Amino acid sequence: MSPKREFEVVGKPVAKLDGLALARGGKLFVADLLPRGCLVGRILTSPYAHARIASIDASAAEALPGVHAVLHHGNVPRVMRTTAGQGAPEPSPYDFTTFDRKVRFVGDRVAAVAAESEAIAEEALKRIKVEYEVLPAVLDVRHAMDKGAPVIHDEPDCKVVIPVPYEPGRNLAAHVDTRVGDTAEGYAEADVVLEHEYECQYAQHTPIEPHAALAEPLPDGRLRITTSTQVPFHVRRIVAQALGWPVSRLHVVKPRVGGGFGAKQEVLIEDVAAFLATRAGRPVYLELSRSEEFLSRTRHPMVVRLKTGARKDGSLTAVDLGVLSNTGAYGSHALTVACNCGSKVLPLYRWPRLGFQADAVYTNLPVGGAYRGYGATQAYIAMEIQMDELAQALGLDPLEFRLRNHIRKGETSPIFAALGEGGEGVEQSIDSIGLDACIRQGARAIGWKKKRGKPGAGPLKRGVGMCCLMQGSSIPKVDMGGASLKMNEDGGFNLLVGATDLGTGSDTVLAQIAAEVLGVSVEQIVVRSSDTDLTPFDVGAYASSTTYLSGQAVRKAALDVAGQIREVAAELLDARPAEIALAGGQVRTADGRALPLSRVAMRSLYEHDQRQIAAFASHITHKSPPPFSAHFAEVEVDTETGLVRVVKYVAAVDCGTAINPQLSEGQTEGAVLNGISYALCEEYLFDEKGRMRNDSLREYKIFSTRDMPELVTILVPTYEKTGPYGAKSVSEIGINGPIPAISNAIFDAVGVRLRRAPFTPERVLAALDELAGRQAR
Amino acid sequence: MDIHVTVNGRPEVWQAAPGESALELIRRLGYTSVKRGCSQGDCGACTILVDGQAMRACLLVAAQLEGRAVTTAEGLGSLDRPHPLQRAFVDAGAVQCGFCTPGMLLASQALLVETPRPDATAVREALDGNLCRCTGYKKIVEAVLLAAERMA
Amino acid sequence: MIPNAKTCLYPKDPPQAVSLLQEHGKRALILAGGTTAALSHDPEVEVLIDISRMGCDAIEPQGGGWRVGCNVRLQRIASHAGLAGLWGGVLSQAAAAVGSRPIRNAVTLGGNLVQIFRWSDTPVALLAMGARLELLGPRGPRSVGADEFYARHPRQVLEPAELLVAVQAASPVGKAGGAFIKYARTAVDLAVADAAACLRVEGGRCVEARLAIGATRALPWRASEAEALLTGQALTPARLGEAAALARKACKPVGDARTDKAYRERMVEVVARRALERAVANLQERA
Repeated sequence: MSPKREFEVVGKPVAKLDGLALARGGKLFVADLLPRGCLVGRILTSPYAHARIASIDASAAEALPGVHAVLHHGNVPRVMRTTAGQGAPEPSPYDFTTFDRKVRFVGDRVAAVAAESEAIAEEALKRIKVEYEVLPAVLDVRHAMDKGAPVIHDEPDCKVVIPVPYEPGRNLAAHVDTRVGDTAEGYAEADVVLEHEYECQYAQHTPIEPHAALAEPLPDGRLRITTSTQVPFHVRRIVAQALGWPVSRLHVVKPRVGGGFGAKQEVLIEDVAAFLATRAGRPVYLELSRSEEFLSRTRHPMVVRLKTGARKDGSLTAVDLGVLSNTGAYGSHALTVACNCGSKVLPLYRWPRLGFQADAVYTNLPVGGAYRGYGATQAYIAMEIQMDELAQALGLDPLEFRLRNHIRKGETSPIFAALGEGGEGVEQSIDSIGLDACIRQGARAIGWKKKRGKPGAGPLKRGVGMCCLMQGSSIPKVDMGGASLKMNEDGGFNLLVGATDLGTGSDTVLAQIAAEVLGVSVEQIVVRSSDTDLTPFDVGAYASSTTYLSGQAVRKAALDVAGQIREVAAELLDARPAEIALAGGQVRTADGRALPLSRVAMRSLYEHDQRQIAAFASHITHKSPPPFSAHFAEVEVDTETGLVRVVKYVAAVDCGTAINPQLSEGQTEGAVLNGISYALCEEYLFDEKGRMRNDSLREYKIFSTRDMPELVTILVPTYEKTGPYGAKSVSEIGINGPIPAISNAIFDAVGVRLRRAPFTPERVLAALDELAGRQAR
Repeated sequence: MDIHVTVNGRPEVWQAAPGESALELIRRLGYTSVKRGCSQGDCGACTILVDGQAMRACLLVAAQLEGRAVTTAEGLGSLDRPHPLQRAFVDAGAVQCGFCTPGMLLASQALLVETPRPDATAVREALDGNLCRCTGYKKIVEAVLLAAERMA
Repeated sequence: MIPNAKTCLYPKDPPQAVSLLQEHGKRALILAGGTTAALSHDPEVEVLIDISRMGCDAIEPQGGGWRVGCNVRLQRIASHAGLAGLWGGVLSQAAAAVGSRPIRNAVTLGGNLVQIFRWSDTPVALLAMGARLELLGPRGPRSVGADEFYARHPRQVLEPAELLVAVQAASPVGKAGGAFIKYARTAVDLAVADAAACLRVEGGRCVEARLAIGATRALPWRASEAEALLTGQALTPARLGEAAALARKACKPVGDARTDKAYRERMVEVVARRALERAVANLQERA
């Protein structure tokens, strides 16, 4: 039996519940919620890439009028932990403490102050005397594991808390090695074997709202932290760990969040705000400046080696994917991002033999972290450029080549079972896939046949390129989402979810799911999300999990509530509960009798056998069904300057049922433009001492309205039966495509293969020069 | 010094240091729709209208506002009667995290006063100083065009 | 933020501004658009002088050319119909190239010309047009050519308490054209290289050529070898290319976080040639 595909609320472009309040500029973000007498926190950061703090004297800062707390390694307990906002026990190494005796990158924290004004806080920072013993630094990821390289984590108490390889003495933060079959045999069978190295760069999420946290001591001895986070429950657990408090003494509230994209899946400043507020006995607000934001968390830059083999008939024989990931000074998300390079990339095609090996290494550079795409972005650069190269070597259309080789419904990949979050994964087969339709519809929208191979005359050359992608939907057997739902007098409901809307619209999506079950409009659902005192637990907004996972928790709770409503309604309507339908804000019998839901609510709350109609549910998943996508880029290459302009970009995506198509498109368009900006201009530049040279939005450019191409989003519906109303994830996958699609389009336009991002004018021009040199010989 | 301004149509006198950042001043006075995203003139989250022109509050000092009319998103509409731009931003899906939205709205408002029926290119040009990382801008441009159509 | 400013003065006309500048000397800071001042953090400044209300905000025809007051905001210049016809619109194009819309709404022409950065766009257009700058100081008014104004940093050209009050540019006689080209990594970015070209032709030969380059050194400069090559010659594509190559040879650029010297040098040739080509393409007989 095929499931119901037409819904009342699900699948509709319902306006975002918080949209109007946000558009009115309401006081909704942390910085808008500061109480009277709130102190300002500031952090002193390291000017050196690698140094020991020989001494620190904060007396002059402490003596400054208006200063209420000064923190440093000498007065804050040392608790080794991670900043990565992951489930416990975290797969990231415990290589971090609130303040350490050593600094490991330019921008690492040294001390913090709370003062009555920003000016006083700044002055206090200047008065902290720090003597550094400067150490040799590791600034080149390719030499981080050399014999004799400086050891970045030489402290004896750094460790891992799950059984995974960890060798800080060699600067190795994480290591993964997985193989299925003998790839050497595969290459022996192949007609074409390719092996190349691909590279991608540091980048920052640049949420327009930087990290911000307010810590307030409460009269009962507890502490409330209002913070711009993707992971409120992990904030509570990890800050409690740092403070040495039970979690129940902390109350973490997430207000509206001004974008996160992974940057706020990190417990990065809440610990400092908490310590400052506790010491000062007053509320403290801590917000990163834009330059500090650049040095908060980043995308792990990677060197990816990829070897593939294929036969003349277009079939694949073997693949070896090798990743060298630069995790920077700390190992936040080092292991899991590295694992994702394999687990979200290798299953896309039917490789009969495969090898995957990854090293995540420490350097004295900014710290990697979670960033939309989470390793898949980095590895798809290699995979999807090389698929193009393979097609070229075999004389096949790259589009047909992918159509021939991608995974099919009912199939599995050995990688699913072999590779998970640090250890083994979870076996799964593909039940929903609309990739063929994505490829065909996307090709039509870009004009693939018409435009391919026609660069045109003159200095401006046009080209089209494409790529295919998959991601996942939550972390199977690890992630959990919870929801509770209660009914009010007017037949409306409070939906309380631990899930974390960071601007994506997940509150609205979850309300739509509840509304669909309850037969009401979304206006009847009041959502409260991410408050550790009020809402059930949820791991938070990461791993493309909220709609798929938390959505099911909401659906379960709503089904329970619907059952309770039927029971009360049955008494009112003199019918059996099973006969009663919930629709249009009413309970209805098959013979046409109906009552408004408010009637049911009033009876349950005031009239007879009173009880609160309410339910609570949680959900975990045993699979992580991938969304699939095909991306197409049309570019114009200026052969005199090397400047690449994306003219048109088409993203066709199968995210199962789009619970809210408008929000799904918005996720896709935002991810795609971020990806294009990353492909063409975003990168960190360092000087020889490891200092970031372009730590402002003036120097580090992200795309503006005038840089955007024509963007086309195509939602290809499929039905994932394990997701709520057939839904899969959509938030991350879109960022993975632009680098390979644009590289492939540049090749179509001018015949050069760019394997190192970003594709700056300098690099494009150098490649064109090199091609001209080769052709001249 | 005393600074005489008309804020969202209402005359006010602000006490301020003449050289302080207009952004910090405006936020301190409670107009928190004016967002702080970079304090360096690069992101546009602090866009306000000064005598109808979209400007960055972080690139103005308090004394420059003397005698001027300042508009913030608080002055654009009310919950019951939102400005057509606010309504269109919500309807078109142009609000994701919403942090850039007040600035986007004000820059759009300035455009529509000057050019009631702009084309997409004109919208993109008018909003080129307002960064958004969530939407890819597509639905923002569509929202401004939608508002223009509804206001015509 | 200007932390120690205690007061702000609002002169009503340029002479009053000059006398206030004289009175307060180094303790004073001029606010025009204020975009540079707001981030200056200069602890020495105690008095702000907001010159934006002293008039000087007209764009007016003058003697067959145009006069633009120092307080005219760049966005107005960018969209001004009359200036779009002056030397092919070279000044409008340069104004339109500055920053983003809210920046252009705030920045004044005077501020952009005096408070210059290496990448400032409008000075390049002034050099190409052969514009003159009207100054007013304690010793009265004077006029200097753009070449003189940018031979050193304008702050060294301006005498103490002297103000830039307006820019004058004469319209060319006969068949003339001009263009401004900015090359940057993204639409809203500081230039990698800028070029502005103004050309006048009589009887099929170039009789007047000015080619100015920006963003490559501390100050914008004229590519005089390139200009000499063009003057007296027919403006064939090949000759424009040779001229652009001469500009590249002369440029000796700096490297920065945007790009290195070698790439910037190469881009000078591209922007110079494109500016020249576009100037030739829009050569027009003046009615």
